[in-house]
Amino acid sequence: MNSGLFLGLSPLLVVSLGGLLLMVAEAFSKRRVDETSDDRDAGPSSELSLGTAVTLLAGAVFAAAIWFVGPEKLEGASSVAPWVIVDRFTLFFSFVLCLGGALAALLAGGYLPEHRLDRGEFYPLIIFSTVGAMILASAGDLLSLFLGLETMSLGVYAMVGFRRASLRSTEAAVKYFLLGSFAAALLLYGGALLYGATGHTDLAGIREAIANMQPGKGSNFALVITAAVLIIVGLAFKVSAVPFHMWTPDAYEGAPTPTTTYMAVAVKCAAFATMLRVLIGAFGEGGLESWAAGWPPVVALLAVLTMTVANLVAGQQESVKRMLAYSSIAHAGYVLVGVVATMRAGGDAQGSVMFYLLTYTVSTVGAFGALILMGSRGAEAVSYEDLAGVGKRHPAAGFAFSLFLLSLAGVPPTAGFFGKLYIVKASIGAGLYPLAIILLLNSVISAYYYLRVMVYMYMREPAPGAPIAKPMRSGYVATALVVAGVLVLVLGLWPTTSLQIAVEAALATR
Amino acid sequence: MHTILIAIVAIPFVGAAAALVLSSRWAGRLALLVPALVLALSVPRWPAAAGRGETVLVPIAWFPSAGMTASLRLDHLGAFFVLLVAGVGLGIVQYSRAYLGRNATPRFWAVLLAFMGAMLAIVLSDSLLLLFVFWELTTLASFLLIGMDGAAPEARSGAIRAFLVTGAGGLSLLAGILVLGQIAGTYDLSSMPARAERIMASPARDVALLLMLVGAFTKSAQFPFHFWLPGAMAAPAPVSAFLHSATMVKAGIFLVGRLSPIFGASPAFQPILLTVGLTTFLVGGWNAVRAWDLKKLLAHSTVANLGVLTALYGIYPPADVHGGIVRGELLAITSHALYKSALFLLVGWMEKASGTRDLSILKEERWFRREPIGGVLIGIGALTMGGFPFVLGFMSKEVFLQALLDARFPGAVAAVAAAVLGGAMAVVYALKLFVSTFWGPELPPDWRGYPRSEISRWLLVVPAILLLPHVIGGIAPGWLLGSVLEPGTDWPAWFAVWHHLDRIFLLSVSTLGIGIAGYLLWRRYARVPAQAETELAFDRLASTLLGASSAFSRAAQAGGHSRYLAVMLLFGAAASAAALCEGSFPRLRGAQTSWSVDLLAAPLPAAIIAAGAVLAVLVQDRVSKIIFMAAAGYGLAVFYVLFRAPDLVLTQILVETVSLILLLLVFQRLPRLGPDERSRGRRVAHGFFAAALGLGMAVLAWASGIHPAGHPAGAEQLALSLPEAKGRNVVNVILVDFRGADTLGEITVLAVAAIGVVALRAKRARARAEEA
Repeated sequence: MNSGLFLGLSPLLVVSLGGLLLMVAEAFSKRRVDETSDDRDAGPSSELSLGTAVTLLAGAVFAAAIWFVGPEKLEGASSVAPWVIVDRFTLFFSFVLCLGGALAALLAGGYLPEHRLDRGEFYPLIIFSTVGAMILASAGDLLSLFLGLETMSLGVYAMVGFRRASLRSTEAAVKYFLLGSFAAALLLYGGALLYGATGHTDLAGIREAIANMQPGKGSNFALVITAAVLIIVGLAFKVSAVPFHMWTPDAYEGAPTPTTTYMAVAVKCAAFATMLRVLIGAFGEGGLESWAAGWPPVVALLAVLTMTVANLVAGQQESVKRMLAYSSIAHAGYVLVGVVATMRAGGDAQGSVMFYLLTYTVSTVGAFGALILMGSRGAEAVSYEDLAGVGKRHPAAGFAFSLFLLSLAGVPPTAGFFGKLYIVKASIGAGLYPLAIILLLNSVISAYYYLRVMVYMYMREPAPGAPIAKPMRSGYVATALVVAGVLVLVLGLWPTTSLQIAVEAALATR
Repeated sequence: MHTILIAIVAIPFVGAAAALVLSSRWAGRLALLVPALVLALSVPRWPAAAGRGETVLVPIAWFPSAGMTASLRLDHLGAFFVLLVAGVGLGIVQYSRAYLGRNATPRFWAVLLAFMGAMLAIVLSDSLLLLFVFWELTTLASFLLIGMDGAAPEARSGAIRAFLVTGAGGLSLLAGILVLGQIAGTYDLSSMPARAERIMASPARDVALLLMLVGAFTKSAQFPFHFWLPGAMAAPAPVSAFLHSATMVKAGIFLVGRLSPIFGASPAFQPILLTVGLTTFLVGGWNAVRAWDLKKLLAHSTVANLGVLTALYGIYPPADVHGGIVRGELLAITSHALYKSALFLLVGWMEKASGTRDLSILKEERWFRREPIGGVLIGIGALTMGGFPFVLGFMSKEVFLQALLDARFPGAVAAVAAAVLGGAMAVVYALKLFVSTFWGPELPPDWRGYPRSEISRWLLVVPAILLLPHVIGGIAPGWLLGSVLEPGTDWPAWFAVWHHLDRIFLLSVSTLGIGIAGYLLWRRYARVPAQAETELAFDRLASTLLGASSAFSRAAQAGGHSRYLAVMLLFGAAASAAALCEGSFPRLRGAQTSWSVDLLAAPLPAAIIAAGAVLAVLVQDRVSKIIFMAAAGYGLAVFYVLFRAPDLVLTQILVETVSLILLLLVFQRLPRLGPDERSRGRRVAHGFFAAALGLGMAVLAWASGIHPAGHPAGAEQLALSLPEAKGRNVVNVILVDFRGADTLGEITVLAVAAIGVVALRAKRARARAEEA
């Protein structure tokens, strides 16, 4: 044991420790919500939200610090490999996950008291889910991978059902839990088969064993393939790729919006991180990475289905939250295109995937945050009609929402544009012209429903007598929106540095 | 020089940001300053760029490792567009101040200035990626400006349609740029011509070309993407004049000009441009002839004119293209931009003065008597639009005809005929615009429109200034062309209005003749359609797509768990089946097992398991189903006995018993199962899928059984068990010795969880007691 190890694990340790402290603080705090009180500052959120954000940001800062020191210089950090790998890839995702979690916690700080859900356990759940997500992103072994996956998921199941009095929220949680457990079981089964076929649970060992196999000579190759499919299915569930997306709209809509935000950003990013690790780390050789007999066609099929179905259905939704849920499915499809491109375009493609996840995180947090900001107790913003004329009545809120929607639609000069640009560039570089064109066509479809929100905000007036959404007032939500908005613009105007960082992080796994 | 170019791009954006924080009045004044500044900076550059053909490059690093730059450049074509945008922009801003009055919010000014900046950046970009970024910004600005008048549903749908069409085209452009960049290894326009051979040699060349042309065609409203432009006419008059006639729609033409040095040698380049351009010319002309709304008429005629501009690039061979400019292009663009924006502005004025822009009303009224100045101005505009002599439009048409006559390509005769036909239609709608608007049988009523005192004079002054070059050019074309527009180009001797009598002149005269005849026919036979406009193919397509996707979303999101699970399982099974067929499935038959057990007694547990499974399917009652499933589980325990694995036997029996009890407890509370209401086909399908899945799992289990693992962990533990831990039961040794710490951890977790459950129950009991 030495200091290098502790420093290497410091993002995880800091966040875990902070979570424990907050949990204790919450237990001994005298602040309990009085259900009848209208004082929104009385509950535990007013302290815990900030504490959670600070804890998670501290994790992000530690990750950034190790990045600058150079993880390869930390002696002893490799002693926990392959269970936890401390490399630039891990640090990049730790940063993104902590950032997404922190922003979601800030959103919760405004949302929970506003909607009489102010109970302190939400915050430890966010923190420990993030710990799970960070383990997931750093896992180089199927066992720690599963551990991280379950740690992350259990917290999220509880967060989805947080609105205990609401049938929808409970139904969403049960659905998510059942299907999620099922997908986890598939993943575990795939892992078991893989161990049976190769004798390894660490990704590098699996890769080596597969590379030494001779396909077609009665070897365990078929088992490896089946295992790969099962693992892909399990991960596809977590990133909510079609046709494993069915839980997503219900869960996203039923959950309290900060939970939805958290699921859309942190859970998805962590799942993509581990997907990259597994596909490239374990299945990157032995013909499995080829178009002829490997995972790329399967993932490509998932990508096409995901983009197309999600975008077509998203246009149909009457609820803006549900629309955003489908839009987040569609974005998973775009990322999958980048994942397919890694088979030929290598580090650049993987860097584009990771950069996309960063831009997606800030834009999605912003969009859900703006939706939260638009509504208040008893006057939530749910449907498009609720938003009619908001842009004129509340220009700042309308501007923020528009900015994030444009970023999600991929309109320059926002962050989302460059995310999409690099993915398309990578897929063209990999010779995947059809995928690139399908992606662009889907962007057009998506522009329709993103613009629809703007049309309602700016070009419509509410029908007389119709309920209108009244924006809430919350410093936390406003802070989260400002941070996300600045990041959307900075990543859009000066994408160079962050893209370079993403590519450098991607190269760590190659 | 560098700072000047950057300043030209930056000034409008700074102005836009500033406008947001100013009052509407001051924002309008600031907006006037911006194009004036840009003009002051760019006019002195014109002689160098145009006369001496100098190109200024400003390299700006953006993302060097990916080969992307944000370089700017100023050349003849770019400088021309800068002057056009800033010049027309100046007039538009002044007009808007007078026209919109208080309706011009700071947001309007900000968007207008941002559009101006984006347009300037497009024409000054050397990097194609930078060009694309600003290309999409103009699309966005157009969307915001069209939808400015939010109350009208027509404005909303027009704005969305325009955005989707041009946005889709923009993405196609992006794809083309990326493919081109992939081939050429650079995104900089200035480096492209040097690599033209490499580009021409690539098989993906035409893919890139087509994708980029689709981008240009959508932006410039070329057939078959022309339909968004008339819909965009919901925008206020100055916006239509600026974006949808003078500048933004010319961006596509500009792009074609930029592409011509790169792709000129491609055999597809010219035919596509010529065909699309001439088709657009005819389609737009015909729609303009049929239009009854003055603004729609102008929009359709803009489409037609953009077709001519596109076709011009298709006529000249690559050798005649200099710096992306073909002869007559700048003349045609200037002429069209000036007179069309003037006409849009005048129609805006007319709408204020007469209260309508509906030709079916106006043609009954004699407006010239009341508004002679406006009448004369619209008259000049109409003359140049119709290509009548003594105005610039005439020259522009002559150059076009001359080019067609000089060109040598198959189908030249058809092209000339199309040009004459299109020209004749231009005459028809020009006459419609002027004669039918101003010369009706009756005097106009007083009650419609605003009184003259309430209409700003600027609404007429600005168009008058825009039309001025037309009059000058009509009188002294040689001077305007030779010394201002395209200095250094030799213009032929015939290029004057009054002294030539040749084929072109004859064609011109016959065009005029056919046009006038056509107009008379229109007056006589045209009927106002009962319905304003037929449903567009685009809208039909959109609504079909929406309907299909809503049907799909209903089907896909039925909500039942069983369906979700089925989809997941089936996809997983199908994917693994495909993978297994693709890969080499191990030969099962000859495989040797490593099992050295006596399986004589195996039929007994096998029978128990099979019976349990089959009965569980067949019985209807939930409780019975559970019991039969448990029977299958106990059968499995017997198997473990045969394999002499007592730990597993005990575990299996324990798990089976506990889950049986739990399930029974839960299911007793659930309602009884109703009768099976599935249709026969459905049951067969369900049965088939279930059997397939079960069989697949069986095969998988078999396959994993017959393949020994690479490094079984068991051997090591077996070897170490006795010497290290002095124990013969390996499982126990592992649990309490080798992995003792793990076991302790597990027990602790379980204990803590149990304490937690007890605490929660106690709390609940207390709460109940308090309630009671």
